Amino acid sequence: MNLPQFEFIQPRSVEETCDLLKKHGEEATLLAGGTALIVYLRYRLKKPKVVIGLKGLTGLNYLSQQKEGLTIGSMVTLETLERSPMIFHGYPPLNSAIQQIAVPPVRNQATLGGNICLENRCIFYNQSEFWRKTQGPCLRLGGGVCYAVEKGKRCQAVYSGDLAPLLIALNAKVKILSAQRERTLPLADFFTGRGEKPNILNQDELLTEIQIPLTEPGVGYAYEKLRVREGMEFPMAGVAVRIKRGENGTIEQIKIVLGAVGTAPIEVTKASDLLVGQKFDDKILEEFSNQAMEAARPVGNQIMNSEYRRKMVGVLTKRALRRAWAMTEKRESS
Amino acid sequence: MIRFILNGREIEVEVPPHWTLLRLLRERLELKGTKEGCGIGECGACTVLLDGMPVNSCLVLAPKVEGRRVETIEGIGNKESLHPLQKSFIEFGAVQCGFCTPGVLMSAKSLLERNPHPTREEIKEAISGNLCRCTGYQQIIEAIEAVVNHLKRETI
Repeated sequence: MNLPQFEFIQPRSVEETCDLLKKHGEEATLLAGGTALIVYLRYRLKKPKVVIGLKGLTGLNYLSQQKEGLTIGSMVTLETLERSPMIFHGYPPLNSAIQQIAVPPVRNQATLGGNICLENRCIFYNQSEFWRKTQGPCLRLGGGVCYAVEKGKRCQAVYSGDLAPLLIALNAKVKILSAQRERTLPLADFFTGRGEKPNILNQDELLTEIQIPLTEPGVGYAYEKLRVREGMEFPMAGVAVRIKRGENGTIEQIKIVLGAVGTAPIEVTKASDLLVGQKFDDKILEEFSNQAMEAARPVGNQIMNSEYRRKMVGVLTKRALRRAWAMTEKRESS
Repeated sequence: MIRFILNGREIEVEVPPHWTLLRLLRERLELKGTKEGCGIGECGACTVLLDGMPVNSCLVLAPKVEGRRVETIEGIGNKESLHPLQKSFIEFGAVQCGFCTPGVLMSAKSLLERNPHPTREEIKEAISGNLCRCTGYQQIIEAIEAVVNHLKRETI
């Protein structure tokens, strides 16, 4: 199946890109690595008149360690991040999360910005035009029916990015640019929770930078992913955790963020209520795990059964917490 | 009109903006060694090297290769002088139906160029983007390992 026709423009600067976005409005789509967009074009899920290729924006291809933490340009490829000694040594769990995304040929093209801006996925939507014709348009395509949730009135397509949950757990921020203004906000506020429009980017805006603060001493973090096979797979569930060790081996802070079990990454806010000088033991792990399962919102729109995915959120939460806690021990002794 | 280096030779070719690199290779340049499998970046049959790194050519817009280096299966060897990986694949029975073979070879070649002494795990990771429905992968991994061992002997 060939791609539909479009005009392809490759701007040289962020300013030029913003002007193009403003000029073409709804008719334009941004192409970063292309590993997601090309499939949407092929499936005719997107039919832009103009595709704006961002590869020429060399100004967005940087990775630097500052006093406050890491700043990463949105056009850095996942492969570059994977090979970066700065991330391998400074943020090992981030390195391991990146390695779990898709497969090497995809990571060689895909960018960090593109990964964060992934469209939400649903087995009744992410299909070829031919496949979709057999059932008629779903909610997201302007039809009146949701095929995933009986009598569903809003699109529940799943946010399936692997990195956003971990970056949210690490309190990352994103910088967004348009022809008129620049804004920086917590990545947690970047997501809308709407299946058909997962992030807050306006038509004329561009995600330009991701900022990851330094982790304090005593902090450990981890990401665990559920998938059908080891490569080339979106998460069926993902759990990112960040934990801080306090005095006498107690837990001082905790943050649990779930991915791929809802329309946006979900922070398990009740988890921190459980702390007050709690020791890290099996009992508290069980409670965190239960809170995570309760916060998850899986529906039957992935190839794995939704109740299984919910149960696995509990399992992954324990695994991630154990790994993160072990990291705090290592860091304390070093 | 785009210009790029294809298998070591600079070429200039006219291509519509909505064509993928895969379509350009197969339909305009008549290089049919690169296969189209799924067309959505999942199977790896269309793997080629872009500046030495494996990419799914079905996911790369042709205009994006302007000024860059593209290598396809046609560039790595021919009937008279096969690439060591190609010889090894024949020897180990790593080719059955053959549809995935060009893609696997490109992934393997790129790996060995960047890392001449990979471990078995590194080999598996490098070809993880290439689906093979015939061999069960063992013969492919063994064929690549044999080339690695040969390279090791040569350097000692």
